[in-house]
Amino acid sequence: MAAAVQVYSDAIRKTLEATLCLRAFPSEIIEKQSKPEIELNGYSSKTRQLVLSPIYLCRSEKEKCVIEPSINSTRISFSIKALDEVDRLIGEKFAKYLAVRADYFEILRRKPIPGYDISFLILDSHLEKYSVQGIINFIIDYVENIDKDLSDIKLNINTQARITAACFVGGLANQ
Amino acid sequence: MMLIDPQNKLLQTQIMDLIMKKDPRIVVAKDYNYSCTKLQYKENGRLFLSFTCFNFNEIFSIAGNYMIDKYYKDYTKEDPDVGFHLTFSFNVQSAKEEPKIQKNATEAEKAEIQEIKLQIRAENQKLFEKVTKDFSQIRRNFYASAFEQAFDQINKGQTASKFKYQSRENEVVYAIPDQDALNIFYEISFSDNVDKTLANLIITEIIDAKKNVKMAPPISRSNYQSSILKSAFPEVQNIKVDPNSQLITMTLFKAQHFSKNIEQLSTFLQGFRQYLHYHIHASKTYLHSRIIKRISQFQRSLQLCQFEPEVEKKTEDIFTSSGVKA
Repeated sequence: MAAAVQVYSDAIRKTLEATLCLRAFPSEIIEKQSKPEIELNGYSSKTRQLVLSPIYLCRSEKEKCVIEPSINSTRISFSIKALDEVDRLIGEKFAKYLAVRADYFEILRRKPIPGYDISFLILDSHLEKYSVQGIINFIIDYVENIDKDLSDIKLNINTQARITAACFVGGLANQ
Repeated sequence: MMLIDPQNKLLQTQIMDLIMKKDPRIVVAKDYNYSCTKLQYKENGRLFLSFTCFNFNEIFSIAGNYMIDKYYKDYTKEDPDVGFHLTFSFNVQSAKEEPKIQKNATEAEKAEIQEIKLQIRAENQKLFEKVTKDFSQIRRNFYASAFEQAFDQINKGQTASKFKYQSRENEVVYAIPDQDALNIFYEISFSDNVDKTLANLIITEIIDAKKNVKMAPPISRSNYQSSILKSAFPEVQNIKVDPNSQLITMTLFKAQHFSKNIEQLSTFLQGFRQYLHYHIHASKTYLHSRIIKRISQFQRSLQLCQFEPEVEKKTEDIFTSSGVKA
């Protein structure tokens, strides 16, 4: 299990190391404005040279990541594994809580891109404040631990539900 | 704060306080299901208990008299207070008075009176504890009386009648007695997605719990097409099914479940919805605290990757005797 995550996280690390070479680049469309190219126009004929093709990294069908590099910004989106309703609930709650606190995280996109649970948006200005390796380590830490955390929470909720049920049924059985 | 204890803790402490201090004041405790309990100690030495809930008339018509006979026959039934459906009173002065030790009493008499005093004090304490228990669990007694009456009737070999009552705004409880069993159908409805998911999880565990609990009653998910339910309450066929609601059925048998202790069983049955709600709330609290803890860890690790702000080098101005900066 750990080895499988390691392969996935190594792939993300190497891709991020390659894509997080950002520089300030004023928009060619909106004059005198420096906007993240990946957010501004996405993939179009006008921005073909500034926005690279997205890189998809999948650990499984439901657990995947897309890295969208551009000249002055990179968008990284993750989909959290959800096998059942409880998984989906915990994943949604986690993403929602993170999104509410997006201001504190700076590199977090307030709204994830469609089909994904959480999105990070790293701009060239972020690299002036944070070290590249630090940001990569933060994202890898997220990838490696989120799965473990969510299964831990799920396990505890299931145990709690089992004890609750046993107490109730025990009470009905007059034990 | 939500509690699943059959006795209302607030009322429990307040009743003892009112009786002991003989303090004429009013205590109002509101609970789920729009139920409300009011305590009032009047200067004439009577403690009044009033109770109301949104489905009062429905349940009172099923087993109201049974509840009064079983739990409140020692108290005086008064005219209901304004805004309430049921009022009982207890005469606090009915407690025995402790004898006083006279000044000219001998040592032997003093010891005897002291002993009587202790005895009376213990009796009064017992009486007040009974009042406290009966008054503080009026909500439990009221809701459980319908089940207790059915169990009693089946135990005595009488024909118990079927009943249904609205437990919440869009939830109904159906009870269908048999010769030696009672079938109960709970309609459970949660509109919030998180509540719904957690309720499903707990209900699934309750259904599976029979593997680990001895003499567990059969519990399963059901629907309005159930033949037992349809034959007892034909109107359910025309019911407009709420997509958020689900039906859970449990069958309790006379021999295994309610031949001995019907009080405990009824407490669990009347509080099933509250029990679910309480544990859903507990799971949500846990989920919240874990996520918040993890997010603060993420936040800390992100802060650690910030570059340290450059500290400006301070230069000292050194003046020589010629007045030129060095």
